[in-house]
Amino acid sequence: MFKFSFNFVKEICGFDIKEEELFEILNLQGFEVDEKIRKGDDTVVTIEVKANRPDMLSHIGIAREICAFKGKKLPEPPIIDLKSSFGSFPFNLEIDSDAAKRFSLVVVDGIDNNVPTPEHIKIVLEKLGINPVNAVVDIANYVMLKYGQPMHTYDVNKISGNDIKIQKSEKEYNILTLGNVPAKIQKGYITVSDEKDILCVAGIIGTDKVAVNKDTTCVMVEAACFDEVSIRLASRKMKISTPSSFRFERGIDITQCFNMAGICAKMIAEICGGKIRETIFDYYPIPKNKTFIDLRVSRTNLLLGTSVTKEKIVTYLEKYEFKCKNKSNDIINVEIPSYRLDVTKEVDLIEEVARIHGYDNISPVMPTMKLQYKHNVIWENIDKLREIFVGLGFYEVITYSFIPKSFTEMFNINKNDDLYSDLVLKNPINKDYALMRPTLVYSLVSSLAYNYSMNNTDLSIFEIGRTYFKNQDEENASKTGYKEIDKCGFVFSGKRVEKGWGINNDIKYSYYDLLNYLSIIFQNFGQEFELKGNNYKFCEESSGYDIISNGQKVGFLGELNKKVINKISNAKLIKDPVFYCEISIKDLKEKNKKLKFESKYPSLVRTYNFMLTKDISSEKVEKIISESSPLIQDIEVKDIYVDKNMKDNQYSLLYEIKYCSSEFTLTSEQIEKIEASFINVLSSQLNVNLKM
Amino acid sequence: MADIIGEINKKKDELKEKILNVQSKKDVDDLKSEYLKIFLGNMYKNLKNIDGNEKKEFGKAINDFKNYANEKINSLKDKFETEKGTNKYDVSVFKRNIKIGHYHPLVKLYKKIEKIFVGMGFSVVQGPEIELDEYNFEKLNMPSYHPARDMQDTFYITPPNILLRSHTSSVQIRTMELQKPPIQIISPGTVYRVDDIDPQHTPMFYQVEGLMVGEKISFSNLKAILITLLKEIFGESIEVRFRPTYYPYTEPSAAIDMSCVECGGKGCRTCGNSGWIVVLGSGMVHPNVLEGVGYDSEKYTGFAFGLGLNRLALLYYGLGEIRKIYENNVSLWKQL
Repeated sequence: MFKFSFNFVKEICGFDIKEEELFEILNLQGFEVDEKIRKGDDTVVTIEVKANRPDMLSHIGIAREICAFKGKKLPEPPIIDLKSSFGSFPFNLEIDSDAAKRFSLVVVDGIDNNVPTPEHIKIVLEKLGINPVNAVVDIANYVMLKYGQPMHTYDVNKISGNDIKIQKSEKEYNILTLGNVPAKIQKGYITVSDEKDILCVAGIIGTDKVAVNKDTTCVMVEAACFDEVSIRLASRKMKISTPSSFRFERGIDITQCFNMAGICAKMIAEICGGKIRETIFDYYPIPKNKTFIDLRVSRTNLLLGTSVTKEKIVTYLEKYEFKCKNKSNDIINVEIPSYRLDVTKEVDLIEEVARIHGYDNISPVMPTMKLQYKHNVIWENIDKLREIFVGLGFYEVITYSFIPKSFTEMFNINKNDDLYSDLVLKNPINKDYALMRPTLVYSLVSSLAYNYSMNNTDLSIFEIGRTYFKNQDEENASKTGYKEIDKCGFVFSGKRVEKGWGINNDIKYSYYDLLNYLSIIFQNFGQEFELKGNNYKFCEESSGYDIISNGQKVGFLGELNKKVINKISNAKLIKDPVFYCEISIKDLKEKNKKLKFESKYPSLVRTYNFMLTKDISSEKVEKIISESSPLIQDIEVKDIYVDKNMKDNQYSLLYEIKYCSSEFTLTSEQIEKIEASFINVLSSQLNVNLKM
Repeated sequence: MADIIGEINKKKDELKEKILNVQSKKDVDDLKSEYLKIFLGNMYKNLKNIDGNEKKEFGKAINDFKNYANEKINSLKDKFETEKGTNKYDVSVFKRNIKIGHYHPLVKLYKKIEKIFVGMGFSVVQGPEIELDEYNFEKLNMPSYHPARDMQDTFYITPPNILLRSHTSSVQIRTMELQKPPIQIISPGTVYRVDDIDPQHTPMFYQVEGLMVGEKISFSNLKAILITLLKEIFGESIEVRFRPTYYPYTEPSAAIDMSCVECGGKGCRTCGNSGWIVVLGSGMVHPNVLEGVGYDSEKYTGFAFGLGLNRLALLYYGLGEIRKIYENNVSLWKQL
């Protein structure tokens, strides 16, 4: 973000332009106008300046862009001709080459810093939210805002000794920065120090020791270019971002440092009196060469899908101060202006051409592509699951991937359980959004409870979501050391069907609905599954089961323990039992199913009411029945019930059995024979008998 | 005798008149009771006390009346009974005890987008959400010191290398490392950036990114694909504009604005009075990124784009608050 004064930019441009036109130019050239605030006869404009264009963090930069767009020449910044001698500078400077790339100093002697800051400077600073301090400091800030070069000023008389060092700190120090704010200097920060103290954290913030105040009579002006990465890392670690550090870390025009020190010194001398010392200092060990890049016209048109002529490209670039030379029919040799730090490759120039040509002038053309097909099993499974659940009347939810840090404790999940996780974010927004969830159960119950609090009761919801684990496996496709499993979870509670419309009583969800939904899913994928009791403590006693398919655990289900889930906010509003199931999506594999044609002979249906004891499952009964004859086509449990005349461990199941032959019409006698056989086996093997 | 005949005729006229004023089934029933039951009943009683020829004449008059009245009243009856027949069911009553479920609105919108891309020949790929710095930043031309990282405040599992992906561009890198061009994919998925939960922010959102790399893929191709996408979702009448912007992983880069769906470009609260809404980020894949995954950037070019589905959903559904998307109040879903 950069804030600028419209009037100041207009003044630099040297021609009249309407606000709206200027905003439009900036917007369309990639500098989005974020805010416009009217201040007196001026407008303070905030624009977004992306990290690649630090040259736009100054009024000159903006004026340059506007002038180029309008095809006008921007008045060049003045070149200050200092009567310079590099001889006897008052200080001996020792500069580490990895700390600063350029370090220019100019001293102004005999100033009177009690003079008021000139009105035109003060107004600009105030409008842009910078408090005026004293003439020298205000001038330094003004120069930065105008030209983009951060300036630093030292009160020469307060510097101890004659030696100044600019280096990357090798030790840690505690210092007080401007206004006595304590700060810690860590290894690698660039510091400027005299014989006794650290004078400033270079490029970021100064200290009170050498700060210029009204009594200063001799000032040293610094304009430098530091190592961008060091400034950035230090600024981040210190959590201090100043207008200087913001510019330094993005980069500045190194060729201008010395000139900028001169411009600033000259303004100080003009405003505060005093005299610029003839001895100056300019550390610039590796002067920046002019950058030249070859731009191919053919490549430009290929990448943009245009047919812009070479002449046109040259006109475009020259408008923006890129100097062009013909190298061959196709190649233009382009000299990059020193302030355009973003242009380092041919492709950067192509972007420049596109920008000047106007993105809107590039016509859309559909690409030609080679056909290919990629199978995405997980994605197909997800689509299929969604269809099933929506068809079953479930609502889909999407919840946060992070759940409370205390989740495993809340749900009584032990370290040894497969749902255990301590995969906690290092910087969560708060402790309730900290653990990368190992299961969807918490999220789904929370959603259900939230909906109950919004009066959306008697509800079934599902989520397709990701769960996260540390990876214990050898195989590690993601190379992260973590494993992510896409799961499908569903939860429901309350009434499944409300009374009315011929139904006399509400029909509530039961555990058997859970089993029904599960079998619908597996049946749809054409996959077999079995259930094996587990000991999740967040499930009601003997209601928790692992779902096993193809020999491995693919999920679990159960009636959730009320005491456990009531710890979730609003969950107490759910009075009925809460049923939950979760399945790993990658373990579902869709099979081709062969369809069996119905026989042309009629089928017969008979019902049987068997008394079972709780140690015998229906599965065993059904197995015996189906094995008793190939003529049994289908067995379906029509009802399950317990009444008070039964013994404690007894229950009754009503089976409907469909008999059919593909070769002949069945007779009652034939059926009676089959019946007799399985009734007999059930009785002798399982002690299961027809209910009398 | 003549008196009685006269009375019958009088009654007949009376009935004629009353029939014209019948409004409802009750009126019909009343006529029926007055003329067919009471009056005729009385007449038949009188008939018993009359003898001979007179009886014959009188009987005929009564029968005529009876036939007349029966016919008239029954035709009325039919009329009103038929009207009642159309009211057999109260079609304004909706039985709602069998319900269909609903997709999450984000998913519903995503599916629309997916369909467009799959239809154009793109494949859908996924990747990990817990990601290496290398894939989330480094290989996207964003080294550790890069100022552009400030735009994406990242959640960390173990700093500095393991983080929650801040965009699904990481999936594009993973795909390119495994596959040679041509590539045409979309990578949908959840991404994370540090933000508190408030009406306009959530620390997690859904992103759909796309990538197309091949020979001679150009910026004009990028424009065509994305204009198609937006017009398909928001309708032919919207306008789309491309503006220069900056992303470290694309060059040239383009921000894509769409004319405001609320005001049609006149300027309103939704578009901050500008008439435009930023909906997509895009650009030509930076040569550094292509070289980083081992592609010859001279031979292959490509474009990439990304859209935040949550913000788009806000516009598409006209929802006021972005956090509502993850609150999951199903009474909103029901309206879908």
